[in-house]
Amino acid sequence: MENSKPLVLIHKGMATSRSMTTINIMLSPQFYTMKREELPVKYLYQAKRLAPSILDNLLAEGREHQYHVYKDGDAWVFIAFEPLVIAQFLTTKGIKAEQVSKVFFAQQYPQKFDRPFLLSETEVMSNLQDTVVVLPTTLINETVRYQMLDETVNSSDGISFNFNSSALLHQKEAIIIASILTLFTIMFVVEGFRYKSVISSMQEEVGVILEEHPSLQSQYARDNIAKKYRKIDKEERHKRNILKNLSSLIIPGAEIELLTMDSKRFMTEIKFPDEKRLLKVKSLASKKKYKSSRLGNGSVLKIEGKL
Amino acid sequence: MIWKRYQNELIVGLALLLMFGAYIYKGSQVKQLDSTKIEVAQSVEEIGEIIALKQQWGDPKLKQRVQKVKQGLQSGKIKSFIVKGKKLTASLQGLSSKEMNSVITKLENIAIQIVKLSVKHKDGTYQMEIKCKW
Repeated sequence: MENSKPLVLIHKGMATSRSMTTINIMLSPQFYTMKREELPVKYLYQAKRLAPSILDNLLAEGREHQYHVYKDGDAWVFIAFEPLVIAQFLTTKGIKAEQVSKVFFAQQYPQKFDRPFLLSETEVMSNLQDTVVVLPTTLINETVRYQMLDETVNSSDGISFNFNSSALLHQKEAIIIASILTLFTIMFVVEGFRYKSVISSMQEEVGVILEEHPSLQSQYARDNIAKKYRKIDKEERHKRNILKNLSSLIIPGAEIELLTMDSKRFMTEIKFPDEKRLLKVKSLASKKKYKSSRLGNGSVLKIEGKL
Repeated sequence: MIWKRYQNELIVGLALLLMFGAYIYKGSQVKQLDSTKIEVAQSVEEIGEIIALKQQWGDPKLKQRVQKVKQGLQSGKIKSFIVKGKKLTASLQGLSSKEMNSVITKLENIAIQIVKLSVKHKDGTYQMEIKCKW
């Protein structure tokens, strides 16, 4: 896939640019170190791991390098470059690092330099046995015609230029932090979905119970039924409790003469063989907060109350 | 151009935003789970209570059960025992104290609504008037 952005060849003798548009750059061999090796390595990620050790003795120590690796026939091509040095150089030539979209290496397109390309009055760039090199013009035959740069490049060959002088974070750090945050995101989403499924299963549980009792499906119906039966339950339990209490007042020797109970009140008359038992039951009735009174001067005690 | 200058920060910011979004989503689900737990527990309790109350006070077999009230009583003592619809009207006479107690206990143990209960002691026996519904 071809890239539509302009391609600028970066070499030490280049002119200052005034363009502010996004560009692709092609680095001349002045900005990278390259080595071609045939290795028993099948995959690119394996070759990338080997890049620092392959190029180790060709690079200056204590400098920060980035690596680019690609396959060329049976061999792997290892390229090391210094983003900081390149960015600083670009700045001197009026190009901001953030203007750079993709970086290509002259070595990726040796056929573009089959005929020498004039870099400056003293230097040319040329393909020498499939390796793009910078040569002094004195080595070039005067009759040779120099060529213009063919700007056609394959977008997939380029790499992102990730050097940004004003950035707080390097790309590697950003990727690590973003990966950790994404991991948390996934965890939270998974947890959220788990809670959601628990909620659904709980609601289903209630649904199953309601399916077994269709008359209770609406909250309104439930409220009405509950209200009706709670009232009945409360009142009837109260009535039965009163009957139980009254029966506890029928002590040995006492006899019920009358008992009435309706939905509002109750009344009972109990006959006692002696005063002592009457007074005892009277006292028990008042403890239960029932109204009690003696009927006339006799031995009958009337106990009554409201429901 | 600016986005490119700060693309690393933007990536981290976006990831952070997504994480916060996911955290808020999780939090809302936790909150919803808590409220659903309470709602479900209340609903299950309420439904259970209603079912139990309905089974007790609206039992369709109450019509048969109410017949137990007159069980063990001689027919001469049953002046009337009418079950019509969901209502019972009964008049009993000549009951001993034990029989009267037994009838009241039976009434207490059947889940019917006691509308009216009247017991009178006359000539050594008891007369009872009962009105119930269910």
